[in-house]
Amino acid sequence: MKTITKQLIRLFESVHASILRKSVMIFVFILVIPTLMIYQLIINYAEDMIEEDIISENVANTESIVKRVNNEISSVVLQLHLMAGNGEGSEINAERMYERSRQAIAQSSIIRSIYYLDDTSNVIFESPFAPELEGVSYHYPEFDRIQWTHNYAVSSVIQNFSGEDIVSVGIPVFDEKNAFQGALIAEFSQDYLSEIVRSISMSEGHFGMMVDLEGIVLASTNEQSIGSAISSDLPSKQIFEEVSGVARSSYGGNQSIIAYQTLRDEWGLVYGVSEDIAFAPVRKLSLVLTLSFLGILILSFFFIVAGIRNIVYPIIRLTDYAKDYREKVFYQEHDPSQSVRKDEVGELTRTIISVGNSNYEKQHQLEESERYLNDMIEGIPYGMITINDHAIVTHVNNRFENLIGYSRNDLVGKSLSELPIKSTDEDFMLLKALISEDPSIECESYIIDANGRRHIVNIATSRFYNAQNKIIGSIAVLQDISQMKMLESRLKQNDKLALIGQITTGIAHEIKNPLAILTGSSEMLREEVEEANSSEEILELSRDIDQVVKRMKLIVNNFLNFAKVNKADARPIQLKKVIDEVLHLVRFKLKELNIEVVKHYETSGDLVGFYDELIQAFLNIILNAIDAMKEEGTLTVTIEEDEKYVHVAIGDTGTGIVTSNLEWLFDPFFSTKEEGNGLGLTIARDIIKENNGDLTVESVEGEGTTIHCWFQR
Amino acid sequence: MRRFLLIIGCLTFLISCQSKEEIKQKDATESAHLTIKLGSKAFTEQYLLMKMTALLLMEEGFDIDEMRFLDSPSIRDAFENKVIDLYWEYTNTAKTIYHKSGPGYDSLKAYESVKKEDEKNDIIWLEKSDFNSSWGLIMKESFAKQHQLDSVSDLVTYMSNQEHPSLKMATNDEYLIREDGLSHLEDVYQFSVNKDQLLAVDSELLSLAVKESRVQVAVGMITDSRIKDYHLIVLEDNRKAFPPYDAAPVVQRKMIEQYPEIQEPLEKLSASITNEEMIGLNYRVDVLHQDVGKVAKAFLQDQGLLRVE
Repeated sequence: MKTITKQLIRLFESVHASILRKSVMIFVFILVIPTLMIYQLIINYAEDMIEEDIISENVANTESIVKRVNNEISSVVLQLHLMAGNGEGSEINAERMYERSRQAIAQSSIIRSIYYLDDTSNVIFESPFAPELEGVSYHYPEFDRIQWTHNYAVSSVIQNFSGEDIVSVGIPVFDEKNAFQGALIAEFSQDYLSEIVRSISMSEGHFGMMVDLEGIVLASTNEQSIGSAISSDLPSKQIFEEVSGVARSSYGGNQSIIAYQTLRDEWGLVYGVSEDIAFAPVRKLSLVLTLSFLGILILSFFFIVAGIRNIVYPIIRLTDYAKDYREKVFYQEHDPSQSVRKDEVGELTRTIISVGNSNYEKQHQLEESERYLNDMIEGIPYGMITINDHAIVTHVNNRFENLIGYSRNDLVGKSLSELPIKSTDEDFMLLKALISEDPSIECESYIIDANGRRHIVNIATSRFYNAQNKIIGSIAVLQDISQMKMLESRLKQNDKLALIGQITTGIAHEIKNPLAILTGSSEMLREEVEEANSSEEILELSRDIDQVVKRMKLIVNNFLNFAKVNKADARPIQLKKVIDEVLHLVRFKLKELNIEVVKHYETSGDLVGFYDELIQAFLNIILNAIDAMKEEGTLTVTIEEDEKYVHVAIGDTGTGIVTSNLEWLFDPFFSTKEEGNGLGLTIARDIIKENNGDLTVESVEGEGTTIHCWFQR
Repeated sequence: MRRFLLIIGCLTFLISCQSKEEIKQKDATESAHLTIKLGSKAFTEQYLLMKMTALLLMEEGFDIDEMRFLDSPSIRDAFENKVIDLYWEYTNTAKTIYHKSGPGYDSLKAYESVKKEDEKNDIIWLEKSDFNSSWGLIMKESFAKQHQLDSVSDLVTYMSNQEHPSLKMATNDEYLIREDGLSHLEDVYQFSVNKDQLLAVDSELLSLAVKESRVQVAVGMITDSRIKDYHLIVLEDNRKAFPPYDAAPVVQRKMIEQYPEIQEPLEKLSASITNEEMIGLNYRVDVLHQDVGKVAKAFLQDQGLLRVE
């Protein structure tokens, strides 16, 4: 049940959703079905009417035949009374009777012959041809009845005394004392009776017959049937049982409508018409109606088709256009092959198309200007971020993405305060700037990018207002000024370095002389100690002093040479030796911090270079590695070579270098140590470079750092 | 669904009933094929009564032979000689003509009397109707108004006035010779009509004779439907010269004993006929010239005595 209603609803909706289906349904419901119903009604009504008409016509015809025959019989009876002279109070006069009857027969079409029977059933005369008959006795079947009733009687089909089958009427003949003296009998002309039946309707297909009580036909439209029993097809029984009525039965192979009625005097009449003929007019009518209704339907079909073509189809096309319009992304020229008509639908079509097209145009322009704006925003060499009045990021440009290392998908839609571009709320200047009371602010701040690097930025913010002058958001423009700042600091550094250079050169010169003395003294002290066979410890110490003082002298010389940019000649050296010496120098520190040294010396690392400077470089590198490890760790020193390079790798298991610090690594005075001057690695790199080498850093935060030195062979 | 089944059940029940009904009828028509001979006198009302009787008895399954008699003596004669089995007779007709016991002016007493009398002759009177086919003096309404005639006595007074032109009177043949006829009327109202004033015409023509002023007054049947049609009136029978002629079916004793089933429909019929009804029926036949058989049948169907096909 539910499914049926659902389906019905679905059907209804599907019909409802389509103008074409709707119009077809409307056509069917409003035109076709009612037309068919009206057609059926008319045809049925016409058939009923015709049938009623036929029935009433048959009944009327029957009745008029009955009346006429009754009247004819009455007039015959009257004539017979006149012939007999009943009521005239005179004696029976057969001759006069004969005379009168002869005249009557001559003038009457219904009377065939008249004879007189006396009270002993002897035929006295037979008019018109036998004025006197002798010895003919005839037992007239109605004789007794006439005698009893003193009234006329109409016979059934009987044999007359000549042996012919006839129908007749008889009256009693009275003498002057009103005593019964015999019967005067008139035989009817059955042709004339048939003529009466026939005369009512001349049209074909009608048939009628008069029968007696026994069902013998005594008059008929069909002369062959006279004298025989009435066809069993006809309602012979009902005639006398029902007085009158209408029946439908098959007669002579044709379905017929038959009326029947009894006459006054024991005869009956059936009168009918075959339906084929009776309904011929209605059949013709129904044919004409059928044709005209077909015509109407076809016309209305054309009407609908025309309607659909002229109204529905354009609307459907319009709808398709509208659907297309919804789906299209870009403006497309409407197909000009479909010529737009000049009526209202055409007007509508044109309007919709022009509206659609102008929308396309507008959209196109909008897209253009949007693209222009977008290009502008993206092209600006500054980071840009906009937020709405709830501090939700609405847009960032490409520069901003690059600046902070997050894609816009991670940013747009997020609250500004959630952005990972700060380390503490304190230094979130962007937020402060954007939500500050001032309509626009310019300040310098920094942001932390995805890699944790600080960017010094210049922030300019401004408010957005809508038409009602309400704040609907803000825009911030960020300029990364880190590079600029660095250059500035570099310049300052250079000045500083120059100053330091001068100061240190001065200091070096000042120290040089005491050092020269110290060198001499330490050398002498060492020699003294060696000669004096002092304890090993003292010997060791004196040697150390000597060595260190020499190195100091060398450093100072070197420094002075560096300042003077004078280079000692390069000589063949072994890197293995250099590194071993450095490791020797830092042995106490290694021990103290529990650092294990692992050496992978595949080669001795022969190359031409400056020994003392390399010592300094590697000392700086190894000290850095020790500092990074703090305590416990492994220092791995690897020396290897191929055709091109001699490669030294010094690895530690220390804290590693923060990625953000990698690029600053070689800047002078950049240090992560508290007491570092930021020169160690810089100097080391410079030294390696002087020795035809390259220094690269490989570091994993939290796992350790490896410094690679690549010396060209 | 249940209602649908109920309807089907009802229908089948009805069909079966109907078929049973039909079977019953068939049995009746096939078993009893006795021919009952009916008689009637020669005027419309009698034709109608005979036809109604015929239709009812045919419905009962009898064959019918109808005979029309010229007058009351001939039909009584035939009835006594068993030529006919049944006809409609009027109480006072039997009382005065056949029993020669004079008219009875109380309709019920008259009926009881003839019923009792005829039982000796093996003639059975069935229940009488209230329809009284009496005689009456008929004249033009305009004439009666003009001369302020309301009753028969007024007319007698009018006729006895020598200054008035003598009136012509029409009767039918039977009235002139009946004991309860003209002579009785003259006795009651103490007047006499000359022969030359009298015109004997057929019963059917009495009212027409008055209408066409052939006669000024006629002794006609008060159930004659033409009275109203022709704007005639019946003068009040203030001295009760016309006894009631209530119609009743009269049957041969042998017939009613052998076929008691004929009694009920006939008595129903006699119960259903009133004066108004009879005037209406007569009117249809005499004035509208409708077929006697059809009028009779329609009446029976209207009264529910005959089923409508």
